[in-house]
Amino acid sequence: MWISKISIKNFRPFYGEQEIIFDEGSKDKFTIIEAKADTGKTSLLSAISWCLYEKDIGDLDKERAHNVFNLQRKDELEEGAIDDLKVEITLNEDYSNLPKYIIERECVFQKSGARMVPIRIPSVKVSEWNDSNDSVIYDTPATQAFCRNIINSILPEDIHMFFLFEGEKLEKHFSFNNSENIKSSIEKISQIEYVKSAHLHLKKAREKVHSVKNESKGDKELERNLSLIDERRSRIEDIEIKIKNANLDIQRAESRINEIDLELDKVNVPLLKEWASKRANLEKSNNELNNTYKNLQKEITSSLVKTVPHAICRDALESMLKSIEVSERKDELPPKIKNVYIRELLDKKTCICGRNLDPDFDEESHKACEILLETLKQNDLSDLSQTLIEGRFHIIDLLKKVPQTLLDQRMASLSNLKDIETTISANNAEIAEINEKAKDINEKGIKSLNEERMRLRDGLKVQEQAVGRLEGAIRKVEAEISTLSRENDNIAKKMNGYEQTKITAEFMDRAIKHLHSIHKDILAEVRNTVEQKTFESFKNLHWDQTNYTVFSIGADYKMKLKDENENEKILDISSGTKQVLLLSYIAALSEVSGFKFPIFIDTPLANTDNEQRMNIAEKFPNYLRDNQVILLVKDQEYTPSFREKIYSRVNQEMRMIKEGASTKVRPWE
Amino acid sequence: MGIRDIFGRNININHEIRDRYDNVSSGFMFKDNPDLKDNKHIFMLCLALGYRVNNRLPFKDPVGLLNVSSFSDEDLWTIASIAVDETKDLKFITNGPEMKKIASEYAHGGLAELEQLIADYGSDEALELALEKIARESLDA
Repeated sequence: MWISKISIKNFRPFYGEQEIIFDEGSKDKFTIIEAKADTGKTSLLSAISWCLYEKDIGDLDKERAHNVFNLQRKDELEEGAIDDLKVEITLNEDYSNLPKYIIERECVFQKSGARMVPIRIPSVKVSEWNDSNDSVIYDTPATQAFCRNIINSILPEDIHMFFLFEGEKLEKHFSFNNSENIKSSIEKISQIEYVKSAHLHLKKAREKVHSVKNESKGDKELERNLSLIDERRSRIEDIEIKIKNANLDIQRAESRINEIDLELDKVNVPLLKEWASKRANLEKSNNELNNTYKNLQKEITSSLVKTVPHAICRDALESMLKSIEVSERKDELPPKIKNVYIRELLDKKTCICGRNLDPDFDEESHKACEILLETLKQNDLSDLSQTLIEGRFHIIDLLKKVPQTLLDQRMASLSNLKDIETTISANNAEIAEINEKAKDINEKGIKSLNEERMRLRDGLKVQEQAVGRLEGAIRKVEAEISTLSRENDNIAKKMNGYEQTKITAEFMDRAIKHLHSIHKDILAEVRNTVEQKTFESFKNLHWDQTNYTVFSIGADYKMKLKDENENEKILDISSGTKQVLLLSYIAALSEVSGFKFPIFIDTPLANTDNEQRMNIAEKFPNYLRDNQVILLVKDQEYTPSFREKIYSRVNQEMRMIKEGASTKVRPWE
Repeated sequence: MGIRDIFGRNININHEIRDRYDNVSSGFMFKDNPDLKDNKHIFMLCLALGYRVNNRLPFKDPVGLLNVSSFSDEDLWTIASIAVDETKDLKFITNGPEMKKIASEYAHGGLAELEQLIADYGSDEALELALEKIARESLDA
């Protein structure tokens, strides 16, 4: 999909009817539109957004939103005169197999005093060309909804901001400290609306079935249990909200502590610098120890859960072992001779010991043949003896392993946990000592930073403990629900007509759970793909000396960028590197969304200084390869040296020029 | 023929039982522990607890919801040992379907035991200690 023409009439600074023509060469190249500040770059994005969705881009203030009609044209018009505002976008106007579209939105205005007032609601018209080059036009009031559908099939409204965006606002929008917008962007491109609405629909249907289930109960105890279950479920929801809020507070406190550490690192007091770095290292070590502690705890639990069944069944295992040994001793088990060998002996009529095996030869040969034929009959059990031999070893090993795991290894692991606890306590004591010493430093600003840091750390501890307690409380309530549900199942089994409703309700519970897991899987998959594509693009674009080895978007939707020494760098990178990372992220979002629409970036290299810009320019031609990219650049951004560096990717250059109250787009001269 | 060939592909429980497993595994000490994600761990715990109190409970609508491949050889030999103990016939270990039936029924009986333990002990630590106590008692017996 590529844009071949944009026509704008009387939209904001664009006076009269103006056309921006993109030639075929721009399909996978950069088109540069250079302009001075406040000439109308953002208005061009707004015009496209308005044409597609009747929506303005960005957060223009009310006053400016009201002045959507071009001021120069307004001043020319007589009182009561009528004129229209129109934006038209032509897509795929070439001889390729792509379907051609023209999307046109128009609104008629009338001059009333100093204002232009819309006299009709804006209408959209979509012209579509099929393979045989026949066109269909949808332009009646009845086809407005259909037009919206066509537009949304070209580029859905809720993801258009990843194709039409302002470089200046990237950093503000996708803050590394706040993962909400990152989560929302990944949710949007995942297109999981249908899964979400199916989930919602099923939940409503389940409520209905459950209310039937409640009505048909007729048993006071069951009724009481159901209301207790409901009450406990809402208690869990409340606790989960508290946990979420506490985690947000923890996130905020951790970010602030990181910021304070960076500030303290810049301070020119050597002793404090040393202390601050030691304290940060001790805290880092404690974090790692805490993780090790949690993982070890999980390992101990896993090991216990896996061993307990075997320990409980020890009698059965021992009895089995005894049976195998007794059978072996008594020769109850058939020999492990394969049928094929016995048949071979009988065919050859000679045993390996030399005995004649012709049954008619003599009495003894006859007997020997009979024994072999009998063995052949039993031989389907030879597999049994082989299996039992295998089992014997497994059971002996298992019986040896169970007490070792349950007693010795468990004791050793629990003692490891204690050691970790001791190290964490020692580290905490050392941190407290540093904090005490730092209190005496009276340098301006440092004292307050240190105090704030200590407060935040203390708060963090309290919050983390609170989260632990709340999680414990959830598990306790879950256990209560489990008991109540079980009691109800027992009551329900004795009631008429309840069984079928219960089956339906349970089916719906299963379906909801399944949908929830699909929802989670899709999001995880998209998150991983975006993560991978962002890092690929970032590695192609960034220039600084650091060897970044890991970029990740965690399950909490927080971005992390690590160097080869595993140091977290995301809050430490320069504004230029940050801009490049976010440009990579947005490129990944647009690619993973699966929609191939041209990408318009207003001031792509905002927030960067001249040196950073030059460095970015070296690799910028690799950005969003195979896409039509329209870069709306400021004149001071598009310097001759920058231009020279990205020229290999540029197809067309244009310039936006402001003349009075109107803006014109002219080819570059 | 190895023990895995004898057991075939799946072990039966039913949807209601699986929901109860999911309820247990979505919380308590199973939650957020990737190592215990598979329901076979709950099945084995239930099997042992059911066998311990000799509660073999048949169930309706069996479906092969547990995959034999997720069970360890030790698990399969424990199941086989229970089946042989139940039938007092060593040759019974060639009868995969019947061994699985016995195990599923004991596990069904043991599920109520596990749920009761969860209700009684609730917190992870207390539940772990309760399980450890049961296991130690079995070893000491």
